[in-house]
Amino acid sequence: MLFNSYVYIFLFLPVTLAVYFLLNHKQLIVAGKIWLVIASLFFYSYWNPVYLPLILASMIVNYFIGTALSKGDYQARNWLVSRKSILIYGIIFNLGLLGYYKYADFFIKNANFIFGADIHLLRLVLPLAISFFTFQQIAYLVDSYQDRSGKYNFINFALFVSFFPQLISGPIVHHKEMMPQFRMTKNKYVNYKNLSTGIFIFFLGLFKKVIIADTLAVVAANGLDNMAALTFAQAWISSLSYTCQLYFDFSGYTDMAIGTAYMFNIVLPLNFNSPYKALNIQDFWRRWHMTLSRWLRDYLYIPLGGNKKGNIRTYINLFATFLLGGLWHGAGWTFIAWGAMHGLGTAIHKFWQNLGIRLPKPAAWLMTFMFVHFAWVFFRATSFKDAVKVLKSMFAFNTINTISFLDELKALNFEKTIETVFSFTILLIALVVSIRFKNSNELRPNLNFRYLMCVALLTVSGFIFLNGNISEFLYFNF
Amino acid sequence: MLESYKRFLLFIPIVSVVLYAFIFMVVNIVIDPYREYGLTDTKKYFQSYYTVPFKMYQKLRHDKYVLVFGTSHSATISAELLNHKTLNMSTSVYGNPVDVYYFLKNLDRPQISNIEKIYYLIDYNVFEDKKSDYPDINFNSKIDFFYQTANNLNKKKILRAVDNILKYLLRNNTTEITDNGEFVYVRPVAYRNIVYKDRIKFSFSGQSIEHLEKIDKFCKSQNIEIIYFKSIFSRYFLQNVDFESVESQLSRVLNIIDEMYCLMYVEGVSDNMDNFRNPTHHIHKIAKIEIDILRSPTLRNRYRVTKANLDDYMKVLKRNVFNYPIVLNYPSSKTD
Repeated sequence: MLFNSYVYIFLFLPVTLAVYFLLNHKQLIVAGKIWLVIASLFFYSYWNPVYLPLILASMIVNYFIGTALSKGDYQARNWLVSRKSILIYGIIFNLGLLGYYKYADFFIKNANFIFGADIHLLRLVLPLAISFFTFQQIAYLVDSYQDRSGKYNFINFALFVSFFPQLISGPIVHHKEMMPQFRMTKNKYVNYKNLSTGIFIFFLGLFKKVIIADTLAVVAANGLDNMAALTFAQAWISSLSYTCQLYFDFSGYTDMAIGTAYMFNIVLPLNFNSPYKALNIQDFWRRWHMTLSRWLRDYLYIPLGGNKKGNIRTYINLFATFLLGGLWHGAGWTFIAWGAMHGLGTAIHKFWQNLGIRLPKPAAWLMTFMFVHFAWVFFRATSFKDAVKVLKSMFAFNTINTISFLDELKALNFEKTIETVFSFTILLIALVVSIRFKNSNELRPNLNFRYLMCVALLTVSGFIFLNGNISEFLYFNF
Repeated sequence: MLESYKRFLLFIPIVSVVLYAFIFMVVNIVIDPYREYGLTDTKKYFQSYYTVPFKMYQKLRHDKYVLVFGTSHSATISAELLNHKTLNMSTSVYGNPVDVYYFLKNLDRPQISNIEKIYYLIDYNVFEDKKSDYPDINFNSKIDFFYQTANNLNKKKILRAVDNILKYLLRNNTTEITDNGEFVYVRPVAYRNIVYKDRIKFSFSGQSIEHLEKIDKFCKSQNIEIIYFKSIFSRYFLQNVDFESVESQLSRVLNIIDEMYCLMYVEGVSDNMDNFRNPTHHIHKIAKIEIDILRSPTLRNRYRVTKANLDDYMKVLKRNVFNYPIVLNYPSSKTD
């Protein structure tokens, strides 16, 4: 089910909230949690129930492995295999599932290419959210092995994995930040402040998605996918549109997730903190998809040795972490290239930092933004050929002023001039907002008329723009 | 007023509903870009796919009309050309047989008896597979009309409303739409050439052909004269067309209907680019020639294509199109 759908906003969310708080009000605490798990699984399978058994199986297996890994349980049961082996089997199980569903065809394609073989592709549909719940559960297993997780019952564990606001595209939550919240008694009753805050953040996210991201999506798709050749201006407008689309789409989704969770008195971790304001690439990753960065740092970069094994090893660890981060986003060489670019960028930044060189702030910002922007071209492209086409056009100075600017915009396939002007205005607003304005996590509703109007305006404009234009979130594909 | 969050929460839906009602009033009633309510004297530059049929149903209840279905290529066909009151559905119902069929099917007896004749442009691009937008709409219901005007209050309508205001203020519109659905060019439009990268295919789908058959049966059972035709194109456009697809579309269509008037190439008209706004859209003067041909039994017989003479027609068409070099001139503007 999509957050940006009428069925979610008018039916699923109010019913789930009402029943949850009603059950808790009647002191049926466990029933309330079971209700949330059932609602979450319904939310997950609303689109396509085929992969419901997969997530259920994944939850059950991980729960038992996690329990077996906890020291007390392990010693009491006299397992024949070592705890480390159980952990390894658990990680293999999770990565095996992810690998099979997400990467099998990628490996087959490459094997066919390298060895001239003709192995048939599996053409599996990527199970929704698999990249996210796999990472969450690997973290749980590793922490269980390291005795950093508590003992949870299955309902709590199932709720931690499946809690619908974060299930599909994150934030990638950690059991340590979720479990205490599920247990807290005061969280089980309606909190009007949280409900108001949740509604405000949710509709702010809806606004970001349907008014900014979906508008820019058309420009990006027309420019980057449909046009055989782009002029200088068209290449910049469509690539910048994608840069902003991706940010507003994903951060809009995250706001809706955080807002929904707030309504249940659950605080999800921040995922974005104005990433396009970053002054270096490391700073960017501290602001962009923060929960993924945290996961990669804690469960990949640090286990690889982090920065404890000398400079060269640090650079290699950084590069490897980002390379795998790129692969996590999608089974394709362009994603790997994108990850490699960020890995290289981060390693160079670290080297630079070690030399003690400091750039003036505006230059640092411009350099970081441009780097991120050029890297998105690879992230978006379906092939290197497409990426090169766009990059070449971004430097095609001979195409400047060959036709009028309005015609260049209109050639990005708009029906009417007003739509062209609107999209271009949205692009400018998106750029200014993402670079100059406060991040949405810094905004909270106050009890005054201005905020009330603001919430109502966000709500109504969201509904009007949503009408006839319900689209998926970009991160559903990753 | 807002001393507690409980109260704040209570006010959110109330203020949202009031705000929505305000936007509804301003956009739908005051600016009324599709001229759905017609309470203020606004010009109409756009049509709503969904609400125009309601208007047409009302009109058809009170008077006899010629109906025109088709695409932008038939949008300028007017009462003046046909010499009869006309309702042109080319830019609202459009020309896909699925929608045309549901428009006709939902008419009641008095409305059916008020159809004088139907001109149906079977254009090259009307056969895409689709579900009708109309099967569940009762065009005679005011509640359905209100629902549709609320339902189409979206981004597109808001932008159309802004466009309406700008066009009104700047008076720079090139077209207007009359209440009977005809497109009127109010200003000269510069010729805009199109360079075709691929051959243009004439499409068809099983579902739309099925509905074309239903339309034909409906008209026969109701004794309504229906004239199927194809619009005049420039030779340059026809030189870029995939003729195999033309032949298969015509052959499928002529398996269903008895005859069609294929004006695609009209000697002396198709050859002169002065007669076109772009390779497929002719100027108003040519729409008159088109209608003159269709209204005259003698003239239109020259373009009559049936299953029996399809092969001959295709041969002649190919000869006319390909025996000449591609000649393009680019007039700076067109006046009607």
